[in-house]
Amino acid sequence: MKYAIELNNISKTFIDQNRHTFHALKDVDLRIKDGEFFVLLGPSGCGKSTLLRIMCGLEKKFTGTATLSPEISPNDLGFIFQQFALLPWLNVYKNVEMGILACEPDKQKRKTAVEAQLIKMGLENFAEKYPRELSGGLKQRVGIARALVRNPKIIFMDEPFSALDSFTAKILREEMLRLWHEEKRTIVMVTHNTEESLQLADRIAVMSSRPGTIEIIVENDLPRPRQLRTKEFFELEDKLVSYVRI
Amino acid sequence: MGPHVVYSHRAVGMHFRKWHTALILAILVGVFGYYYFLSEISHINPSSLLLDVASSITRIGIAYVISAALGFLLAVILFKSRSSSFLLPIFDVAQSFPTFAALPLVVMFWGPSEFTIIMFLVFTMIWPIFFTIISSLKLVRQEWEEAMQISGIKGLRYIWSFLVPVSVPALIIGSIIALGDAWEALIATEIIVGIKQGFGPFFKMFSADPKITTLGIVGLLTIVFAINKLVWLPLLESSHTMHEE
Repeated sequence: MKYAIELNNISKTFIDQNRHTFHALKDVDLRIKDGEFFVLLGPSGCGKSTLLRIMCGLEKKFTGTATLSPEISPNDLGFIFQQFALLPWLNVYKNVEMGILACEPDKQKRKTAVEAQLIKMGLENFAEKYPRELSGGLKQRVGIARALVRNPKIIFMDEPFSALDSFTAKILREEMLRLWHEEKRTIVMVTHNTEESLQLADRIAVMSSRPGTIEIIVENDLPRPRQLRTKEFFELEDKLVSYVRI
Repeated sequence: MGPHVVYSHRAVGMHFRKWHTALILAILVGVFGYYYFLSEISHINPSSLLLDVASSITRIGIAYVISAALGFLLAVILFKSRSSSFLLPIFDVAQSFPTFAALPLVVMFWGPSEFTIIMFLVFTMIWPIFFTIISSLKLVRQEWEEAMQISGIKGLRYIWSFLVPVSVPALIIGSIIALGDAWEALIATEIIVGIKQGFGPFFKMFSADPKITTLGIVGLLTIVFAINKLVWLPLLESSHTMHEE
């Protein structure tokens, strides 16, 4: 089995203002397969975002080892943020271009890649708009385009749909699924929404807090495209909820 | 033909309405008119008075450019550095240092020159610029920082495409405060150093004439007002708009 990411014995501690040690993560072992849609599910404060940040290299102070597959370099990683993280002084085109600026020196090639991504995400009429002129859904489309423009082998998503209204979130979830089906990239997503995790994931790691650990990894064998109102779906959802410790 | 990206080729820059243009002209005409009136009242050749104004503005301009560049660089070097925890209190003391007390010493070392005046202005202006920029950099949204990190943007490109735009609102506010301090320091320094041209020599020459002194102060304030109205306030407004999410 080919793994995109391997985590061994990952622990992360914080020291609070009263000098108490707080274990955000303790002895986490995890292997994420190449091309799978993997979800970290858990309540707030269970360390799922910290774990995601360790995987993509944003968090560097931890113990244990986090290893990417040898074929994957830091330029092959994309990240989609909960609050979009668009730079407000740049227009849509420039924000998307930011994703590829460091790894593609040729301006014309960058233009081609950015335009292709804008079209793919339905942003072709918004290239010169600024983030303040966009709705939440459009902002997240820009965030997704910025992550995809570098053609990443792994996409990390930190609660990417939780800042959106339910209708927009549904549409974007379906688009993410379509993109994943077309390109079969590895996706690692953090969420606290059980329904969302069941709709999207191949495997779901249920995390619990104090200390942050993985309770269980659930294989999601529901057939795709997934029907959200079936008996099997609800049974699996109940099973997931039963594992969550707050 | 498939979908294609639409560019509207929007004009970049400020869009002046007619009344904006009229206001700018009115301010400029008002300032020049006032100085012509002042030259008549004080019996100074208008060109000599304009040279006084131009000399002082040039000194402040040069000192401002140096202060802004150094203040920004210092803030960029220190905002993530561990040494900032002991350097910032030192800089805080430095900004409270009574610089005028040291002016005679500075004149002794560097002589009564343009360089002395400009360096003195730099010491006055650099601190508000540095402190406003470093506080804005320390408060930058973590997600923006992480987006840059994931994109792999580093070095000069990171400074130019991220730190500079992030700092612009703070730079403008710091500049407004710094220039407010600088005008006062400029006149005192020009008088103490004994330079021949500028606002300082003007006020020194008419120190026994309250009417001309008052008119001179009003003249100085019209320049400060014009610069604020025409440069800093529009920049502040547009920088806030550019940072709206």
